[in-house]
Amino acid sequence: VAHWIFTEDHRRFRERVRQFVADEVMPHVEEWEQKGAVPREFFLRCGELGFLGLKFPAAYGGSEQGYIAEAIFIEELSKCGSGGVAAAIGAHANIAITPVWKYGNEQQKQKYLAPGIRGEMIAALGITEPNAGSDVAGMATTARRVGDEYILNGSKIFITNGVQADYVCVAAKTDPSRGHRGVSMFIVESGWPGFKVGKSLKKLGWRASDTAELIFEDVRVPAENLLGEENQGFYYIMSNFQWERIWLALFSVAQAERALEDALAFVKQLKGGSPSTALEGKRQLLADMAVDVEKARHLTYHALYKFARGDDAVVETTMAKAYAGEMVRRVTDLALQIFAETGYAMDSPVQRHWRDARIQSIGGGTTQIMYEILAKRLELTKA
Amino acid sequence: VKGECEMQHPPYLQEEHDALRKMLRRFVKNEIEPHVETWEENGAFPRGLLQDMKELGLLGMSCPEELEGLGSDEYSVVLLAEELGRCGSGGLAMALMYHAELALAPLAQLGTPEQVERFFKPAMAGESIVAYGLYDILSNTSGQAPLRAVADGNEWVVDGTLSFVPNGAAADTIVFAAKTGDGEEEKSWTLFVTELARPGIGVGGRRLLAGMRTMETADVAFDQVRLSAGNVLGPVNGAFSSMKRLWQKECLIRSAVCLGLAQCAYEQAKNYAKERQVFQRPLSQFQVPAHLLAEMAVEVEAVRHLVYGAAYRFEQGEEKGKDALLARLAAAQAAHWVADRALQLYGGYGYMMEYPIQRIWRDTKWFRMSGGTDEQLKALFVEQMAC
Repeated sequence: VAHWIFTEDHRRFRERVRQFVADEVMPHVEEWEQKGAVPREFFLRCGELGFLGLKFPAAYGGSEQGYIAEAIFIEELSKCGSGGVAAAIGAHANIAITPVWKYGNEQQKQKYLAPGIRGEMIAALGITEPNAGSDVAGMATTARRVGDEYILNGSKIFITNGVQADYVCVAAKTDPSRGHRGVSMFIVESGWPGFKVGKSLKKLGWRASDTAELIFEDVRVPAENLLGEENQGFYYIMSNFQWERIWLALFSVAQAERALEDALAFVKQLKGGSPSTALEGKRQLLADMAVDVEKARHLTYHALYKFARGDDAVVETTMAKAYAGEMVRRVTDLALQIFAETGYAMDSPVQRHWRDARIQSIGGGTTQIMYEILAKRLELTKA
Repeated sequence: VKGECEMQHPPYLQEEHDALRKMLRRFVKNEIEPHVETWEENGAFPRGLLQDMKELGLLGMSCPEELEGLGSDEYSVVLLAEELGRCGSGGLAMALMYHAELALAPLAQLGTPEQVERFFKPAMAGESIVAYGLYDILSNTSGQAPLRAVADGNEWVVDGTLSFVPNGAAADTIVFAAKTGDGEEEKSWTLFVTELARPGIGVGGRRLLAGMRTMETADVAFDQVRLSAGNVLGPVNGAFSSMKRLWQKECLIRSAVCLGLAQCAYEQAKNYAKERQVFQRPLSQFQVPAHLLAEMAVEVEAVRHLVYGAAYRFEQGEEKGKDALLARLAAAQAAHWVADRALQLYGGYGYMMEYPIQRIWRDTKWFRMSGGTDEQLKALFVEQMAC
């Protein structure tokens, strides 16, 4: 993948990840999809190889290679052919332990970030609720301060890794009267009394990642597990959204690229037995797919570049998420069309590309929510 | 979180490029935009503009400094094309780019000192216009070479017809490619340059097109035209690699003009939606048009970075033929889509000739057909994917 953001070191790193994915991920995809979860050993293995700590400080076991290295890991893992595998690892390393690094204190980083980087603890991010998705300020979960503790009540839904997680970074209202200014974040261990996993949700795709409903009934969270400052949670969440959108955009680009590669190989194979004119239709579809993938890729790398530089990248990350999320469903749909019945059979990876892709224009904020954000940011609605 | 300082930076975040863009934007706003409607109505190449461009160094910008060019990189050329496209007339932007870059670059690169005096310098001075007779050679999948040149002693005899030549009806000179051999494709093409006022060359009248009206498109017919060795540009039978590079450059220029046109259409639609009152509210405050505008903005940005990325790889010599082609295809599709959606946002006014949005809609369609349709380009692209 030739693009100016990548250095020679990045290229070598990509080769290493690609080899790992071929040797240690692809052979297990079917099994993990069937089981509905990625085994703990896989988190440990990723930790052992340093893949969970690419952007984190060496003091906690990270390798300080930065966001672009993490982006490469995301892309290559997402090409394994199971969105669920990439979702499980990504929800842990990219979005759940990241707030501990950014907003946690030294003690919290030692206790939660370091084992997260080693893959010894699995983390989840708990923001979405049954009645509050992208409207974060509408959440109903509360954390009431009592002495040295907060009493947590409420529920979360669609939480990736929710079943397996050892801890969850939970958003809750510490001052319900102040709307989004009354939200705080906590590190909540799943073993604490009152923490319940409601049910493991069955999904259309992303089946190798577990997704749960979480219920908090008077969970006593020690005050030392408050992440950052009280009532600043909304800003932490919003800032975390930037990297989450880039993650999902990279994820989408990589999934689409995989679908395109599979379709290309399929058409080449058909070429052996058909007159070339009979494949013109399918060949045109391949070009349509490539155009779409490249547009999304360039938009996403631009967002990645801006974000990694430390610039305000809300517009860029939102655009990348919006485009890539829609692109991947078009591209995987065309791949399925090219494979026809062969791809529709459940033993074909192509139907999984297609099912897995469908969440990308929903999860992490729907495309319509992205357009809402853009309409404001681009001052479209301003008179 | 600190930025990653060791990261590579895009080639287009350099001060000189920013300065160039600023200058171009001012030029387009002051010297082009006020006249676009008139020029479109006249349907004639605005020769006077060449003097202004010459003074700003915008003619033959990528040509070397010893030939009075600026020695600019390909990214600067892309900037010029994009900013010209923002004037909202695809015809004007392409007419200027065909002359100022596509025709001048091979003359500078391959011309002998005599050819530089005779053809390049007047064109560089804005005194003559050069028609571009190579524009569809490589995307033409019919397998027929439009022109053949046969050696006859020290002379060449050229026969055939070039259709839809950009600037054909306005030009004094033409640069073209002719088939001069029957062996492998790579070793059977030669470039020529000649005055159009010569026995045997028939320039048809300006063809009235649905769009691209400021560009004087014409057919140029060659009937037993005798040219001398002084008309041969570069090596005999050795033009293929130059043609390929020029074709890639044309793809990039087209993609950048489309980017500019798309940006123009988006901005017009955005401004219109903010002003237009519907049910006592600006149109833009309704969710459906607001989301559509957001989607248009995303489309424009996606194409922008695709075009810039392709320009970078072309400049670096990393272009293998896929990137520029893809940028051209994607940008033309996106520009026409954005123009179409903009027209829709305008409602009935969008259909009125007094609003420029209909012109962008007409012009952007040209990019999806001329010199290779979307479908032909896709077929070429898939071949590049080794399929």
